[in-house]
Amino acid sequence: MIGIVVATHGDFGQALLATLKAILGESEGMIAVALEASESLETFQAKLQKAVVEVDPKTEGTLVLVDMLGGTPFNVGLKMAQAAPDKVAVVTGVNLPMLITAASHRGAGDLSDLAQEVQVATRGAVVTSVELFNQ
Amino acid sequence: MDIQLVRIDDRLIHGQVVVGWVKALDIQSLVVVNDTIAKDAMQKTLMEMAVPSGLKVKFSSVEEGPSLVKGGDALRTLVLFANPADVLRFVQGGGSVPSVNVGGMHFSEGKRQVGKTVCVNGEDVRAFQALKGLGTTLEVRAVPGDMKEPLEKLLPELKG
Repeated sequence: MIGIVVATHGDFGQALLATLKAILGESEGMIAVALEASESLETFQAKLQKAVVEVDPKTEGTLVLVDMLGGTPFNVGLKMAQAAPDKVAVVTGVNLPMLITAASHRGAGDLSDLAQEVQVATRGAVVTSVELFNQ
Repeated sequence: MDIQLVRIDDRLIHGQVVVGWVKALDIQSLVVVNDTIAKDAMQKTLMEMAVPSGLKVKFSSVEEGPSLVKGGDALRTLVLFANPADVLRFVQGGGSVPSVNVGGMHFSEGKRQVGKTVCVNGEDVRAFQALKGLGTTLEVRAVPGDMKEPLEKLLPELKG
C-alpha cells in the first residue's frame, strides 16, 4: 500500500491526522512531520526521509502531502521526488478532503495516478455558498 | 534593480519569503546570491518550481552578485543570502547593502542559538562585526510583521 506523509509548518499535519482518524478511524502507514521554526533544513530533511521509509517499508511509493507551494516542506519533498520520482510524489495544499481522498484511494492505482486523483478531487471539493445558491 | 530588502536566510526561497515578504513589500523579483546554487542547475530548477507564477527569480555567485544587482531591470527586488559571510564578500566586492535583514539562521552543529530564529557560529559573528564596521545596519525580523530588533541586542559582542 502507498504510504502517506503529511509534511507541514508546525503541528497542522498532526492535527489533520487526528481529525482524519475521527472520520475514517485508525489507518496505517500515515505519519505527520512538523517543520519547527528553529529547525535546520538538514534535520527536517532527515525527519521526512525517516517518515517516508516508515510509512512505506516495502517501497511501493509514498505520497507526501505538503501545506504550501514554495514552503520548506514542499522544497524538501520536491528534492526527494526528483531523486526518486517513482517512489515519492508531492501534492501541495493539504486539507481534510485531500487527506480523505488520499487515505481512501491509495489501494488502487500507482503513485502518480493517486497524486493526480488527489489533485482533481481536492480541487472539486472547494466550493462557495455564492456559487451554490446561484446554480 | 530596485532593492527593497537584503535578507539572510539559510532556507533561501521558502514560505516566509514567498508568502510573507513578497506580499508585504510587493516584490516582483527574487535574487539568490549563493555560490553552491549558482552552479547547480538542478537546485535552480527546483527553486524556480517553488516560486509562485509572476515572480521572477535570478541566481548569482557571490562574486558576480554586485554587477548583477547594479544593472538590469527596475523590478522591486528581494536579495537573498544564506549567511553573513556571503553578504560581507558581496559588500567587499562592491555591492551596496545599507541594511540587512537577519531572517533565518537555523541551528546546526557548532552554532549557538541567540534568538528565536538566529543561531550563529564564530565565522558568522566575525562577518557581522565586519559588516557593521562597513556601515551596514543589522536588523532581525523573521516575518514582515515582526518588530525590527537590532542584532546587537542578541549579540552584545557587536557593540562598541
